[in-house]
Amino acid sequence: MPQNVRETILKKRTAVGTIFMVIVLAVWIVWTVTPLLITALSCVKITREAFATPEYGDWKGVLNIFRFQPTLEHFKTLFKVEGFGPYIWHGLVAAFSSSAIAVIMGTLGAYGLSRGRFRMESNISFWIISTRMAPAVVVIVPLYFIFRRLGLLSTIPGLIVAYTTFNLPFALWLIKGFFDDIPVEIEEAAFVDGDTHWDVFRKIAAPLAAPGIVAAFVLCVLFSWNDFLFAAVIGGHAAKTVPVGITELRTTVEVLWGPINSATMILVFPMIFLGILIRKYLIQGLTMGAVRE
Amino acid sequence: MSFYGWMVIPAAFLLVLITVYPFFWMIVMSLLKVATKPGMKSEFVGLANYAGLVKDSLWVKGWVIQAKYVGISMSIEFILGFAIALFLNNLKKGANLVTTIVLIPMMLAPVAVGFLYLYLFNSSFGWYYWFIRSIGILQKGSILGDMSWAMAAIIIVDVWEWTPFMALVFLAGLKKVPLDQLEAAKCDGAPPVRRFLDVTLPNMTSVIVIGVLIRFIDIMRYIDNIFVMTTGGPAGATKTVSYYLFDVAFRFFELGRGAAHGFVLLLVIMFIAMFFVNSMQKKGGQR
Amino acid sequence: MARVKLENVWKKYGDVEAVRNVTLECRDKEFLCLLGPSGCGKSSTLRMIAGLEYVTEGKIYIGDRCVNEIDPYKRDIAMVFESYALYPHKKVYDNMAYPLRVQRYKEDEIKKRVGRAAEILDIKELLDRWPRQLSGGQKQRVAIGRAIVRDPKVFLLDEPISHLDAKLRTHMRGELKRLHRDLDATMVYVTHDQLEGMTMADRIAVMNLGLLQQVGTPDEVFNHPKNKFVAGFIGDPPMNFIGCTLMRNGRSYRIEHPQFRFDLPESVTSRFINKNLPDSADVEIGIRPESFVLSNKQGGADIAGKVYITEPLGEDMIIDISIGEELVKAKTQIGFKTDVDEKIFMKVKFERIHIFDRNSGDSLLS
Repeated sequence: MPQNVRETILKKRTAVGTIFMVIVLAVWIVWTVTPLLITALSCVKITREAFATPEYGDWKGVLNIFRFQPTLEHFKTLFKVEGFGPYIWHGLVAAFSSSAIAVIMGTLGAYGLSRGRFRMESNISFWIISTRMAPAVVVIVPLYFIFRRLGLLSTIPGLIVAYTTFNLPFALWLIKGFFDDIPVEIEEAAFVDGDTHWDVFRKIAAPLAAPGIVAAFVLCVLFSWNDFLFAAVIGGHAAKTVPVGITELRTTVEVLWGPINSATMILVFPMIFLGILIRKYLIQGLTMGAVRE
Repeated sequence: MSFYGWMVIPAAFLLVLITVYPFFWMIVMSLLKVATKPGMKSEFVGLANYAGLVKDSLWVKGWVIQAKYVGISMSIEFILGFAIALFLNNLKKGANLVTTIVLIPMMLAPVAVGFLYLYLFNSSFGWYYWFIRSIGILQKGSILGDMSWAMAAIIIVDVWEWTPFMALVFLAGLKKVPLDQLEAAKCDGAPPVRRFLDVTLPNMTSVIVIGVLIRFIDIMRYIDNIFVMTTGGPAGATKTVSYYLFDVAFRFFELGRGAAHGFVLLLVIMFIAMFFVNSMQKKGGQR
Repeated sequence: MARVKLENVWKKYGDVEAVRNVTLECRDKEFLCLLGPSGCGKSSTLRMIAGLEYVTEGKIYIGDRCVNEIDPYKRDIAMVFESYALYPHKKVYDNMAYPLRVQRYKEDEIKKRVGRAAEILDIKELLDRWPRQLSGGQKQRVAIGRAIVRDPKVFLLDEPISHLDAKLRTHMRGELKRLHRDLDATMVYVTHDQLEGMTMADRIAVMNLGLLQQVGTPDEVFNHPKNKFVAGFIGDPPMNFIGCTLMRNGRSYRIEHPQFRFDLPESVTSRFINKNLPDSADVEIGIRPESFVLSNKQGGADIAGKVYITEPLGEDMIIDISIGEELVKAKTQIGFKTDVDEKIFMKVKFERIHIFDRNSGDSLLS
């Protein structure tokens, strides 16, 4: 039988299944993208146009969503009137600093945990996992209390420490998994060749675990940048970040949707980019190393 | 002290400092009535905070709402996530692109997601509200202001944001099912559905457990959505026990009660998590 | 049981031709071995018979039915995998019972069949264990057990013993051959180990680079290889090949080589006399290590050489002999006295010599 005829027969049998599959995925993609699309469009429309929805049931009127005069006034308001610039800066500084600390400490610690034989290892593992279990509020209550006494409230360093409370256990756990994957024989060969422990770590282990370390860093930045609770409670007024800032655009008097949508876009798009960047290690990262792709 | 011991020390020290120390303080605080104004002193009240929890009807109600929220959200996310994972696994072309789009909601700040949907569900100008009115499910009124619809909206948002997580975890699990076992099942005479139940699922047990566990832990932790969209309303209809904890600790500013509250919540989460992991390990047979 | 027939079967992965125009039949109740080196297409062929791979071109029949369009689970085959592919979440008993449960056999029938298979394979004590508790050899027997609980049309085995240690492999060769006899089954067996093919199969199909080289009984492929590849692949230590010139000398022929020359007897020349060879042809002669008679003395020897090294093998001995730039292996008995760098003389057992065209590799002997 000619090849193309055979494959056609087989394709027909599964055609129905494939069509169903494609439809479901297509619907899901549309459902995923729509909120972002609508908000992205809204943040460059003047408020009146952004609020203009058609009559109920007017399906053709949906296309109006694409007819508008683009404007950057909301972004201007965001920065000039509401002063979002510093918020972005705070968020970036706190995120990057905390992530750097977590990853540096975490890399060293993870290597030690991975290669050293500790009797306490399962206890330490349990402890790290349970730090994730604690609702953030649980951690924040004592942290608030401690920071108040230490005067760390409403400060960037305070925020950095607060972020590190969840970044460090995470980085430790994730990076340990990457070190565990490196065969010990490679290191043993280096020892035989005369390298010191530190050499082996620096020249062999760390470079091999580098993708994981980078992934851990990126994810820490992501978690920190996205965080609301810690920033709200610990960051206070002087160390406000974007998530907190957005919530303040909603007052009992009025809700500034234009700036809110713009700020949402600022909050959201860098992270989409980062997520795509570390796509390969995403699931491993989000499940704390338990599931590999 | 070995080299490795030295390497662990800085991280261990920091870890203890920022986790053990607060944990210790949380327990202490839960036994106090914490001073809120400078000049006041905290007074020791023993287990009064804990006792007060049980008598607090809002706390009890919070658990009911939490159970509904967690139960419905996770069920939908599990089923949808599995379906999407299965489809993604079968996709020959474009799997990468589709998967990348699918993962986007997971990357977003929960607060941002809250605002996205606050905007979409708004009764005056929200496009999702328009859609729901247009197809006739809702005749009048609002979504976030309605006691049943508000919870539905929160669940919808949670599903939108976290189904991708379940989908990607399950996808990773699907890809790791050993091909030769599937082929053996084919040769053993098992049709596709049988193969899925007898080979695919059992090989995915650990992945499913992890996915569900982490999702459970996270859904108990995050209150960002509720905070932005409904602040626990209307009339406490979406005030889950986690949200209530936030209220108690940072709106009423009763830190002592909050600490007790949080400790109990932590214990419950741990208990459920361990129970779940144990039972799955027993059920899945030895691996 | 049924026969398996392949007609002009091709398997292409894009541009790569893994199986090329293979026409082959495994007769009903025959033990057919697909033999060849890695990448020769034997596994692809087996997988196409099983239905785990689509046939790019050609037809495959199991019994009288063309199975190209039929899913594996409907073909009524049983397969033993190289990796055993046991179900880790089922106990041994349930692994073996699985194919029967899928077909809705009654539990007591299942118990009987599993018990019988376990008896044959001597794994009765293992029935309550988990796969991860088993050794390699035990897992392999469970995999076989899972296949024999049914009465499929064909058994397909993909290098089932290649991961076992040498001693166990030797043992299992005998067990598998016995099993074939006891079950009266059609078996298609894939391996890269020529010893397995030689000892177990009724017929061997030798493959290389996707092409079928020769199909025949072990005796046929050993004594009458069609080309250099088959000749060199079958037999251990492998056949020695020496490039020479075949020179016609009136009605007789001579083998000429820088280091030696000898006349070919009538018994040999009669086998290629009708091939119209030129007066001087480039050939390779193939002589198995067992086809030499060694001596320390010159008298009547065809080839002279120097001992390179000796390899004692218990009752036999292999002597590596250098002939000029070439190195050949010859087998003799352990008592033969010689030493490295000593002169050594070889007579060729002419009834066992092979001659191959140097370019095409085809045997010149019919």
